[in-house]
Amino acid sequence: MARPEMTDDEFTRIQRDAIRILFLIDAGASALTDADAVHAPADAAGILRSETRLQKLDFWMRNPDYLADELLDEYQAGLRPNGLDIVRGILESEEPDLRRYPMIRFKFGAFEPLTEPLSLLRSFGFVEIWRAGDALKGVRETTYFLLKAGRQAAADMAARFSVLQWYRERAALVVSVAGDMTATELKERQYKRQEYASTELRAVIPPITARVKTRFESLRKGAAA
Amino acid sequence: MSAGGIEEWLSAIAARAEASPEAVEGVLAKHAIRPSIAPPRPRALRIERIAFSGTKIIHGAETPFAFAWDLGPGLWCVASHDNLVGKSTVLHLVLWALRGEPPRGLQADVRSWIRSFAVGMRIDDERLTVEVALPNGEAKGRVRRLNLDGSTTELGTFETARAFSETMAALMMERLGLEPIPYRMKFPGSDDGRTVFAAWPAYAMSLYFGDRHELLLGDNPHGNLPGRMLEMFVGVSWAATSFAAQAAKTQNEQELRNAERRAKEDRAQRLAGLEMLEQELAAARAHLETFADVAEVSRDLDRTVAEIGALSVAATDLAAQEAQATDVVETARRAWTAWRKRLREIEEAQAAQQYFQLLQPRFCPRCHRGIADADYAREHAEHACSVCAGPMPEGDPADFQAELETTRANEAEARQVLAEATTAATDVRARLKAAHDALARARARVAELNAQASRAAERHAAERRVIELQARLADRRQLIDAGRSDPDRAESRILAAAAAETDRRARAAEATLFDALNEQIIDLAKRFGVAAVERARIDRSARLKVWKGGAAAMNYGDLTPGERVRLRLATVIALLRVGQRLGLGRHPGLVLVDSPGSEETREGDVAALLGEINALTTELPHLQVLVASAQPEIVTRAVDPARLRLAGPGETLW
Repeated sequence: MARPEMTDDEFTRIQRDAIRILFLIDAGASALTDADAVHAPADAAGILRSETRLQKLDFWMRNPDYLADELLDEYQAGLRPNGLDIVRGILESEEPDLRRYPMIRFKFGAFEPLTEPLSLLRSFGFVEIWRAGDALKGVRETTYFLLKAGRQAAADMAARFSVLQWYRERAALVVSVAGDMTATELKERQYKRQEYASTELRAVIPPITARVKTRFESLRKGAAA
Repeated sequence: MSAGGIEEWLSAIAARAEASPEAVEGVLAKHAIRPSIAPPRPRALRIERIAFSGTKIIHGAETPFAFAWDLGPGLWCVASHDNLVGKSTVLHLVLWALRGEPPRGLQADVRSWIRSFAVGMRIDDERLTVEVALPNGEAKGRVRRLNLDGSTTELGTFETARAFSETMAALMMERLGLEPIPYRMKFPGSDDGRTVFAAWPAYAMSLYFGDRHELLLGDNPHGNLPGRMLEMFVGVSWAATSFAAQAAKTQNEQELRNAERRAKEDRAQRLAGLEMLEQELAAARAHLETFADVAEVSRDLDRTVAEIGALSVAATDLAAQEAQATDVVETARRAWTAWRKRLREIEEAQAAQQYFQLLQPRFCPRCHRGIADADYAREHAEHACSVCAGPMPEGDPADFQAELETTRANEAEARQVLAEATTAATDVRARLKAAHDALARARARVAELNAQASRAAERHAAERRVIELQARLADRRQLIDAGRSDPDRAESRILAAAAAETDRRARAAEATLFDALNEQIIDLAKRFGVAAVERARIDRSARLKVWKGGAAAMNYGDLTPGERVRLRLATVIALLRVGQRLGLGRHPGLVLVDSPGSEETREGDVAALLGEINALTTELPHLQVLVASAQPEIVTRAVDPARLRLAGPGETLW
């Protein structure tokens, strides 16, 4: 029995997902602590905890309108004075249409398996994954180690391909919006969006572009006044 | 004169008036203008008896009295030494009986004394008696004719003064062949007047010469009455006709004048009304012009409503086009977005491939086994994957360039499609907006037109007002035009012609008569003692001029009272003389003279006058002159004592 063939389209999609995830882990990974070093590969350059957190960050990568809404929250809260300018850039470049990759809502929120892109990243020695069980909690936590080759690859790709530069910048923005919030806190934050929360299980989380545009316009006018 | 004279008269009037003989006869009949060409036959009136009775009340003493006096033709005289002893009463009662009304000169106390009176008279061969009783001062009585066999015939009775007067007027006018004389009584301060008729009382007063001698004949100066009585007495042919024609003409002229004045006033009033109407009409027209034309509004409304229908259809169609265009734009936008997204993805994939293909896998992603140099060598030599040992893909790795170009072309086309769709949508939106704007304008216009149409009743009223005023104006103009047209003056022309033609004939007829009359007057005036009189001329107005001793002509009014009474007598007797000679004239031959010469100091003149009169009575058998005198000694010298009633000193006549 022959092995199933993977189409070029599927392969290139996996490659693009892998690049996005690499930039995201690169941006979101924090420095290794001494405790982390126990499990970390020798060439680890940083650590990003929990698959849930990675999924929440990726949701904002794939849904620029939801990210813009968070930025407007921060602008209104006075936490991000340049929030309106960033949102204007997102809306004017039509990112909510051109860079939207919708996700399905599951029990714990938006989720899409990242097995294939992560395998690709692992095969080149960019990322290492460590799953650890916690007997007391009864759950397994996934930890992503960014390897030195992975950090170098992200820097190389951003420098060499202008079309990939966006991922590096956007990943940095998404991480800055997430701050040091835990995965649970991020999940709760994302659930505050009416459209997100009201999406049925296993249904596509709908765009909120129109509402964000309206909100942006009213805030812009308020700022201009 | 003959019947031909009448026809000639009628045709002369017709010719002068430029009218048909029929029209002339119609007008003459209407105004009672009758030809009077038959020569009047002289009638003789003579008093045969005067009788009266009553009770005198002097200083409270009542004294019954009765007077009776039988008379014949010639000169008769009643005289007394003292005044106020009733000599004038005798003449007054004669006048009363003749006229049926008492003369002004009859004193009230004397009148109240008289209980009854009777006057016998003869008119030619007819003998009449007027019997009057005055039980309460009111005259009651009768007129009887004494027949030859001694019987009497009652000709009339009367119970009132008025009936007495009317009875005598009818009787005397008919028997004396006299005609009423029409003359104009002018209204005070006006050219207008009315035609009145002088009849028997006026004639009768011309028989009486009382104490006033202002006029040659009678006592009424109005309407040339003395002159007309003169013409009647003389017996001028056409005189009566001439008077009637003249009166009718004057009356007609007055009526025309009044009609013209009224027409002028009416016309002025109508013209004023016309001006007012014209102003009203102008105002009404101006008011009407503030309204739009109803038909125009209606047409405009229909047009606009139709326009709304068409615009609605167009707008609905455009709205559908717009929805479709919007769909097209959205679809095009989605397509363009999809192509742009795809283009980016390919660019990213190309970058990824370029990067990843240079890398060599270091671990199996599944088992994490390291890839050894031998594995790479085998891959190179045997085309077996260094990771999974499967056969390596043939040829070059996926070439994104062709897909990139295709996608770019598709993206460009999609962009173009979107641009075109956007332009089309913008265009159809602009057209839709234009249609909506036009609809809004048309609806506003309809509302405006409906508002105008709702004023239709008001406009109708304004229209009606204009029409009504036009009609009234036309009526008024017609009235004014009618008023402007000259009244038919044919009647006036005929009357004027009749007056002129008749007057011409009367003048012709009287010319010889007046010459004869003047001749007789001068002769008689000389005999009656008017000093140095050489020439006299009486005209048809009974104005008498005399020339004395080479001096300038003197008017009758400038003469002394004595001269005037002589000229009056001379005129009457001249009339009788001319009449007797020519067998015409109407003077009845009775003259009542009260106190002749009372103004004079020279007794001889009065005696001479009476003597002359007495002498004339033999020449003129129909002449009867009754004289009342306060100078018995003069009277006794001139009058036959048998014809004299005399009251001596201290005596009364009755």
